[in-house]
Amino acid sequence: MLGKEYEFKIGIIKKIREETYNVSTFHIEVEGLNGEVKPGQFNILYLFGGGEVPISISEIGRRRLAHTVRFTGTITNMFRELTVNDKIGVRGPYGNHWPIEEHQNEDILIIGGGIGIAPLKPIIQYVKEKRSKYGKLIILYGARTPKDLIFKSEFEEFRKIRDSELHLTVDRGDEKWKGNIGVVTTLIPPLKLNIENTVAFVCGPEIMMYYTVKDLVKKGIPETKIYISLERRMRCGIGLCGHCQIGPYFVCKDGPVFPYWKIKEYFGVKWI
Amino acid sequence: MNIKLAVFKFASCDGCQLQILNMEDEILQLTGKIEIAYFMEATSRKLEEPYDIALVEGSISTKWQEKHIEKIRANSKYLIAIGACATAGGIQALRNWSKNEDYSKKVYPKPEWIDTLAESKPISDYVNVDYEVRGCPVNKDQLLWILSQLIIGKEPFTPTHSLCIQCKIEGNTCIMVADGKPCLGPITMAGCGALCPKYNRGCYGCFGPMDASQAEKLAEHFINMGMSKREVTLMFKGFTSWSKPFRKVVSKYGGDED
Amino acid sequence: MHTRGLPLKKLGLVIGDWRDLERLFKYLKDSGYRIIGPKVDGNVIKLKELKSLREFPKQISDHQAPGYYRLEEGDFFRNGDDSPKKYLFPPKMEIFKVNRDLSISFREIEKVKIAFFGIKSCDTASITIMDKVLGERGDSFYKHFRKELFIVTENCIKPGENCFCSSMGTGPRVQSGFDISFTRIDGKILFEAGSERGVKILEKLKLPHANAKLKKKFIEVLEKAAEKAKANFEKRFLAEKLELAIESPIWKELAEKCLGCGNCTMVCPTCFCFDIYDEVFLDEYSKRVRYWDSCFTYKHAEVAGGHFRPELWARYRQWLLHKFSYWKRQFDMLGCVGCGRCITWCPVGIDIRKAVEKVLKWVDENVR
Repeated sequence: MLGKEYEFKIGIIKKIREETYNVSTFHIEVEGLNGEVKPGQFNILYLFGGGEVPISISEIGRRRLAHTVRFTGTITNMFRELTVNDKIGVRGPYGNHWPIEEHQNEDILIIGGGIGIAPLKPIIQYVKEKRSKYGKLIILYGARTPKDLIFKSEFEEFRKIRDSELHLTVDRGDEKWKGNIGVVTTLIPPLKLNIENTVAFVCGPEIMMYYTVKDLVKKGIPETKIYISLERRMRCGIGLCGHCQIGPYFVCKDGPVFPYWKIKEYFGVKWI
Repeated sequence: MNIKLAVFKFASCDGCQLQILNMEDEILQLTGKIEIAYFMEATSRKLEEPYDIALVEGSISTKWQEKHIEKIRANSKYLIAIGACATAGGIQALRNWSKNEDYSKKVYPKPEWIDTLAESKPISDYVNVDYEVRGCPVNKDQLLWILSQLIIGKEPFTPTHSLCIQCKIEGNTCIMVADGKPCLGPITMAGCGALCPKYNRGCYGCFGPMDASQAEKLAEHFINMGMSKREVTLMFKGFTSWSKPFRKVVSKYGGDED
Repeated sequence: MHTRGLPLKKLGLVIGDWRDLERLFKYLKDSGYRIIGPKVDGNVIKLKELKSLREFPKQISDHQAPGYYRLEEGDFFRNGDDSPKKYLFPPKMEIFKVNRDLSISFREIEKVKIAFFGIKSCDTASITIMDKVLGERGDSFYKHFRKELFIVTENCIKPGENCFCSSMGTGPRVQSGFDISFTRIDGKILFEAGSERGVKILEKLKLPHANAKLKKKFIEVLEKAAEKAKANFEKRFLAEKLELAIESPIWKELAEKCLGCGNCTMVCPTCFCFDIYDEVFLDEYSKRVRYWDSCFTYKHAEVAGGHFRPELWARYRQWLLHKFSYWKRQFDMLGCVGCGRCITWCPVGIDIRKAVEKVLKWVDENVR
């Protein structure tokens, strides 16, 4: 059928959780997607007349997927008006995934900046479910201000995971904030890591990932065990439209997750 | 609930409002979604303020208009400037380069009756504008698309790239390359449907500068093509001359001269 | 389907004249093909539907230079501003319609049987590239338009000033990806088959084989053409060498004249970027419409809250390196066929050959 590659399934919004003033998580019930969803993948969501927008999957359920959306663009702003039981188009899952299965028995270091924590959350979920198969779970999460931290209601749950650490930081605090102040990289030097046996998964603004990777390498984690998830303008999600390229890679298809060694020669090149 | 739409006019020729009236068939379909709350060109019926969408045609050219636009802004949820006058000052902004009296003396028998501001300026110079629809006049398909987007609750979006892209998509032949005629297409925003090049005439930039418009570079190229400074100035000194990128070219090559 | 390489042994060069070309044209037309070929349209030669071979601009030539195109009298023409791309990957096309309840009304497009008649070797190569870039990667519309395609290529005996197909290895003689080729030599037409389908059709024309003397002439003419269609660089290691300049300041210099208008990408026979807009009509339905897009537009790499290529020089670099470097790692081929359209149709006449030369020179001088 012509245009089949752009066909979406109809998803029903089952729950909306307001994370911050401009971020909400939409739990969508959808069936008949391309395949099993893996941590780090994204879907393309469609709103009638508005258009499509790629959104990473922040929670993987049997029939429900959570999508955490920041209202910053013309289409994402339309999400503000959605309510429970509304229908939206969903196609996917697209992209590769965090290679979590390949790193069993290792310590897992998760570093998220801003809304970048969203595609990392399924790893936390995965490790929690298969707790005995993994070592320590360390989560570093930074946002601009305390008001920008998402998944706040789940922090306690993260902390309760056996053998886990959750370290939070904000760039600018407020009266109530008693935690660390500074960018997320400031959390790295004090960490006690088992360098030989740690794998890092990083997602956040490009500049944050750039410095995070540098600090991780400085700390002794090999480039082959640092994974980053890139953001680019994605329109089609299937490697056709050309927008998401970085060097020879189509981020929507070859990524969004890249082992650092693979993307190194392009990542950090100005305006690439 | 119907969207209350108001159409206002400032210094302009009414051509953009005419484009709304020209949407005959579509306007019929619009009723039921949109209610015309104020549109003097079409009806003398007026509905109470506030309005959901205000379409504003024309530039700000008099003191009274300065006050009036503020009132409209305060009474409208969403303000859209439509057309070259409202978005760039229009053809009447040509007077911005010279003394006001010089023009009024030439045009009016009793220039002392004329009370205008020294400059004709776009709406966005006075109040916050939510969206701008370009063109002299605006393109009615684009206008309908924008209204449709607003009806479903979307911030309007229209392409902001060069006219050349639209021209090629339409299958036109480049008149600069194949005819050697100067054309502002490479630096002008798409949206008109590439009408002028379709009829073998160079684009005169009525949609104004595109995103990241390289107006100065094109002007330099015109000079290299053998055009005089005056000719280059005249190319840019048209309907959207007061837009920043075009203004720069006019100042560079034309200065204060006519 | 099209075979790689030529079944020359089976048939070889056969010789006929203009009337035989007309017979071939008629045969394809009678077989139900919609024939698309070069035709004068205003002041340019475009690819249009040909009702008869009389429309083929036999006695017309073109003069092309950077940013310059004029038709004139003559005996051989080159590419115009459009390419097969527009038939296989239309510039604007509705993908499907979405109804208010989010159900989709898919499109049904009639089976199309297109025969390109008289496209040049560079454009034939561009179809091979699109097969990989769009076809193999799953563009259902491309596959639909491509499925029954028949390709008659004209070997390019007189490349133009902006041509550099022989440097890109795509011409002037067509090597693969075609069904039948023809060459205008000394008032005769030499035919060659490039596929089994082509062989069968040529056999039907019952033409005699070319003798050794004509074959020699054929080689001479095309060798001379190949000499002409050269840029000052080699394809070998081009991709790798250019990428060495990825962080060079040279890009700013190269983009100095660039207007960011995107004409080069529109006329390029392999540029494939597109965007899809929702053209919503009131709140009744929304058409998802695909438009050609360009990496030169400001918004191409912009995301909500960020911009990956805000500067024009970076967009210029993206285009050039994509064509000549990244493409190789993506598709194991280069994205440029050397047709020279981006040179001719750049309104300010930026010459990509010179840009490549400058980058290579920078690499030679600065990378050790």
